Amino acid sequence: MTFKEDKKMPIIPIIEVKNLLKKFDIRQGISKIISKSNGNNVFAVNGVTFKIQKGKTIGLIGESGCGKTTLGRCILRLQEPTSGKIYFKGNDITKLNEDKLKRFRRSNQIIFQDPYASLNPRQTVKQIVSLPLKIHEGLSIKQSHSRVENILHRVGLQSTQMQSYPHQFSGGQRQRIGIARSLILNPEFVVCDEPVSALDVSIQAQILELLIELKEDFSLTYFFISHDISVVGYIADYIMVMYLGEIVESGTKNNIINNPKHPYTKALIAAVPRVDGISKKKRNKLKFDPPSPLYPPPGCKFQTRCSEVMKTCKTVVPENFKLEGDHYVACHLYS
Amino acid sequence: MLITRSDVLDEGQSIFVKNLHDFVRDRLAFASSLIVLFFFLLALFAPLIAPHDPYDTDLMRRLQPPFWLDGGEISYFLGCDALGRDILSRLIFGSRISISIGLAVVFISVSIGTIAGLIAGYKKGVADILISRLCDILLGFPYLIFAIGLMAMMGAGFKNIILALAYKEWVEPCRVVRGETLAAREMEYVEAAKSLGASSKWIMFKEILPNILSPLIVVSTFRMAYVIITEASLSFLGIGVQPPTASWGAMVSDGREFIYDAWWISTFPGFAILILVLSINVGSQGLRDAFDPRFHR
Amino acid sequence: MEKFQHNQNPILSIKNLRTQFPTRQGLVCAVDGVNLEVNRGESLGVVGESGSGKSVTFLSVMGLIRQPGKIVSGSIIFDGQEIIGLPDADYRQLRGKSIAMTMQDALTALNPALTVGSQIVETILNHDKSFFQSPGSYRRAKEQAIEIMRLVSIPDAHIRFQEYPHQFSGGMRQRIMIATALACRPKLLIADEPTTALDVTIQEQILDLIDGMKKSLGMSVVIISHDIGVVAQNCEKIAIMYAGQVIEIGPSKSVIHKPKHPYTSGLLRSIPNLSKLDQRITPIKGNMPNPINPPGHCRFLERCSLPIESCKSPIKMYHFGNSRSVRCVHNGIGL
Repeated sequence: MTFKEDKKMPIIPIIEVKNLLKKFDIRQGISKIISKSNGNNVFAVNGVTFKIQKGKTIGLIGESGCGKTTLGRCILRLQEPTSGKIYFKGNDITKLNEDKLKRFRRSNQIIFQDPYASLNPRQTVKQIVSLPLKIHEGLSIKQSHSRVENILHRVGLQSTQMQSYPHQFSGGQRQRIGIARSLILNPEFVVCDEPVSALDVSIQAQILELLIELKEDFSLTYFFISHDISVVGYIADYIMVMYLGEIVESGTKNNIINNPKHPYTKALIAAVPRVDGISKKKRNKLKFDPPSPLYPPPGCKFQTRCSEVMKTCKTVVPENFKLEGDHYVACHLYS
Repeated sequence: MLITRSDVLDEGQSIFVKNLHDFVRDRLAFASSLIVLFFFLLALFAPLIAPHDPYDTDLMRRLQPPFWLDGGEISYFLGCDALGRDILSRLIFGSRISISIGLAVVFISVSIGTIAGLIAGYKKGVADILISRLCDILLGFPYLIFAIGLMAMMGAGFKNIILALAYKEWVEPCRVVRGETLAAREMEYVEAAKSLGASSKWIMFKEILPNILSPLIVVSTFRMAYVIITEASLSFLGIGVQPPTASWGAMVSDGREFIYDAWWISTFPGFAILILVLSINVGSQGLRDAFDPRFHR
Repeated sequence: MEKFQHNQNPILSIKNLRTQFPTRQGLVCAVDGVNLEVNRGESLGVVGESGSGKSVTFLSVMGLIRQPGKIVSGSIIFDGQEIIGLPDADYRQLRGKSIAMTMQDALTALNPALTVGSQIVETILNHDKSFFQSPGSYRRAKEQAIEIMRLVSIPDAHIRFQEYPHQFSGGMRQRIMIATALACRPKLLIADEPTTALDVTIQEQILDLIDGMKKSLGMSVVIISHDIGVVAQNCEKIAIMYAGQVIEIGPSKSVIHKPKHPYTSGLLRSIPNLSKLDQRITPIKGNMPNPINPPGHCRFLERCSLPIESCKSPIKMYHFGNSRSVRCVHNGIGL
């Protein structure tokens, strides 16, 4: 599926993913040789295909265990995909050597979820933020001083804080340090892995607005992963919905939030507590828990919880059906 | 948000400095480390402190008792041994042996062990298998017998003792570092460094190593005590430092035949070993309590 | 102590509660003059971010504040009885049987070495003295436990009774915690962040469950959450806490649609709203205040958009009709 610029000729997407597969073998040691592989694999990412156009924010939503974090990591080659292809500006980066991978990293960054764990507790802010400059431009900490200062100002911190250690900052400030580190080299594509989920509500808004500003200033493209649907609904241009390693629906923000088609998406959107939706409507709520990722059902993976399940769903895996506009659904109801 | 006692770090303090403060506040541990420091200084300034030449024999003073017993004199404070040499002076010079061997072995073994542990823990795969199996094999040999065997092959002598002990000694720091590295490599800041394009070498030595220094310091100090005892044992058995060099272990051995009549020849070096090793142990427990985050009250 | 069973009295009445923790850095005033009431059969939502004191308030109610922290002043009246200063043995009688609390992290709150069934049975046996008199008391407790597990929608309860906490998913564990809490039909259930670690669809199930239990058992409920949406949809009354104090309280609809405190309105404006996707969010500037040695004046002063002279003195609660109160000199004007 493509998220095209309206009416323009299709240009090379900044990121393209084809049939990306990532499986984890849960067997340890000797049982890897002895036991059979069936029922021992978790297909965290199960054949995902999409394109991301430059300058857009693509949101990825889904519940825990759906594979969204793994997908984000695989795109950046922080985890090695089992199979499939990833393209950056048209170039195949799936199997790059170390040198080229390092150059890839310069333009493709990640902002982590946990502001407490993603900063080395034994390094000062200056050391942390100047690390990319040392790796890619060979600059010493002294030489990086002014650029570190600039980026810190840009994210709302002061130069006096450069000699401090992470533990002296609040969660929101630490997240700003992490953002400064990721952006000091002016990357093009940034994966935001739940960047505000670990923060207090009043600080979330600050960081979200900061991310939006920085996207404008640095001409960034965001891949925004979050389990918080309201946040994704706010910041994303396009949204993809993931369930058990597969993308079940994708489309513009408006389509997904206000006009969801896949039964899972519908249930997800409806389950979000609304501040002003005080009266709860009676509707079909999702029963049961998701099936074990080790033994997914054949056919459509959502069949065990779907209120509109049909006979085909139990045997045939649904394809991606195109609805009008940029709206795609993987559901037999729309074939 | 329940706040525990030693939760909050002061402004501007690095974790290392805060741990140091905690260590100093533990009075028993701090006192022990002062005792160890005392022995260090003894070893360092031995020629200036010792009242007599440790090699100076005087058969007139053979088996002379310490000054508070009949026949003793105050200038030969703790008495003399079978060759009339001043025990106190030999004790002071003996500390040189124990401490220098202790330091040298620990320094070499920790350096090797750390590098091996980092590589095994971070790179995993073949390197890990090789290093871990090597550790397992070396651990299979009983410590003292292994050392004796090596000494028998290489011959006695100061340098050879250090080598013989270091041969197995690196295994313990290696295991500690490997374990800590296995845990540290999963930390998000390591992933962050990777995402920035940092090389493995950088990650191992600049990201992981500073964070595992605490348990490393603790294991090094604990092992030093062990090394000192082993050196004393080797010398006691006669295959360590050779006479006439004064070594506490050898002194204990020398006094064996006189244990009923001239008990001071064995007893004082024995006490010296006891006090030094005990102080190192208590001090390093205090270090562990202060530096190892898992042990925080 | 005398207990009067007057049904008009609130089940829980907290007056001027102050709980403090001495630390090396100074005195942390986690709860600094809190007044709250829960009427019988009512559900109260307590909203606040980290440092607001919301959890510590109810840990104080449960008598779970450990040294060196202590309740410094105030009164907590439960079911007509003052419980501050109650001897340990009496408190233990109260806990579990009349007041129950569930914690946020169900995995660490449940004992991993015991089966879930035994943990529920333990609570039952601890509180029903009559059980000890006759043989077969364990069997009866077990039946009751399985019944409660069914009530909280744990499938195959009689089999899962013998399983261990790690064999359940996060949502199930939270349900088991609720089951344990409800085992003795308490009069008041305090749920501390019952939905925070859970996916939004499971969140919905848990909240429905609590609501159902409340209706069928006639229980009073307190839901503590940082998510104002969760609380707005499930509670009749909302209390907003900031920096150790209650700063606004009133019926949900009223607080959400007509907030009277700048913090409340700031919070509502800083949360993305799925129903109003195009509305910009406005972050509250500044950071949470330091809980150590709090100032005497309004705690929100540094972040407020409407500061005036009278904000610099201690602010009392202003009471309005319809059970509305707010700790602000503006009384909602100008928001």
